[in-house]
Amino acid sequence: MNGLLHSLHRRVLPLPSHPGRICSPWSARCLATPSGSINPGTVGPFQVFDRRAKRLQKDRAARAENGDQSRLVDYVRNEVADVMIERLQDIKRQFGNVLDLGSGPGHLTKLIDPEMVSKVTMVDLSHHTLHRDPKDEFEVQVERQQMDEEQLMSSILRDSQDAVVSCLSMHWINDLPGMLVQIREVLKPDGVFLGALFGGETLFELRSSLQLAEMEREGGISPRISPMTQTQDMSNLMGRAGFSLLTVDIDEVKISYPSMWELLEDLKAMGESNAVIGRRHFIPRDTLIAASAIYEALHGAEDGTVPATFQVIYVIGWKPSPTQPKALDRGTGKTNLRDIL
Amino acid sequence: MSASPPPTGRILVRKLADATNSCALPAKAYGTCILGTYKDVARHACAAEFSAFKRCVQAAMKKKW
Repeated sequence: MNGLLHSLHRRVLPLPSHPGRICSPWSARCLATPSGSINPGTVGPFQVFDRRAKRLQKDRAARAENGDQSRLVDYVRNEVADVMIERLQDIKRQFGNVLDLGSGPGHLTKLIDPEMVSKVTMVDLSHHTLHRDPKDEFEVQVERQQMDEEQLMSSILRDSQDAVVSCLSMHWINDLPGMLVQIREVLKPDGVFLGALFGGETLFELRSSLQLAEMEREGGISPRISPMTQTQDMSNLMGRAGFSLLTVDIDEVKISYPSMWELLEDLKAMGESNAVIGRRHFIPRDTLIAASAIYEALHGAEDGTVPATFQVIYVIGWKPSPTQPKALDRGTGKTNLRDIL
Repeated sequence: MSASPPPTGRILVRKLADATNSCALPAKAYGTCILGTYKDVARHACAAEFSAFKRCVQAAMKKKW
């Protein structure tokens, strides 16, 4: 019986089941069919992430133990917020309105100095995450607005913000190019966008361990870790969205965990569970324990801990304005660089 | 504010974590086997090592699946 179950499983796994398939699972070869879109019957940007599932996951994570569980796992975002606030402070300017996009409970907003910023609008998909922490934890005046960031312009006015900041939430946006365009639109001319998002190397240890475990145990792989943006794409996307004076750089936050299990628990408590459309909603125990052994063997450190890498891409871009300094035209330079260097 | 629901999933993960921790040796044998073939892993390439590991985990959890 067990053998039969296993062989059935193998046949089903590598083929995404879609209704147009014209072959029985027992025939030797299937006929070619148009490849099934994972969002059939829709137009517009390709949907990768299940935003509804993401909202539920974040709500659940922020509510667990009255938010204490979620506060315990703020370490990655706090670390990155520290870096971002320094960059914001480097801009010697008074900001009227600042939008914190995908603010979560306000990791970055909590650090903002009221002398520099008059008002921050925090926007997040999840109501409970947004309202996790009480008002007295913020020095600056805040307004919290629960909304889907993907529909930013439905409630934030065009040309209304002096700066837009986003700390580690844009990896769940389906239409990243469109999101960047919306950010540029809500900025006032010469406004600045300062963002941090997870890059493609994020959690590569977990990704590879799960893939190897699924390959060896079940004979196929399924989407367990989201696809994330590559660094080189980010500068292209920013340019395409019409930002000028771009800065893009990367950094890595490496965290050591006792084992894979603590990493899984923490990811869940962060509200960062898998939300890829078409994910398998189930992971067999065999695959899980296999992955934990592989993680240890493939990536484990000598002291018995396992590392997890969070790659962070920092971007800075400015909305163009006639008053902004611009690069000179090609060929207008008068000094030969060879004389200087 | 409603209290959080009983975290059944977390209890299971904790149990699995403790069980795999106590089976470090067979886990290592399985991991080493995968490391040897990880560029071209086939299904059940390390079946013997895995079943030893799984037996140990099941004994530690006092639960079979």
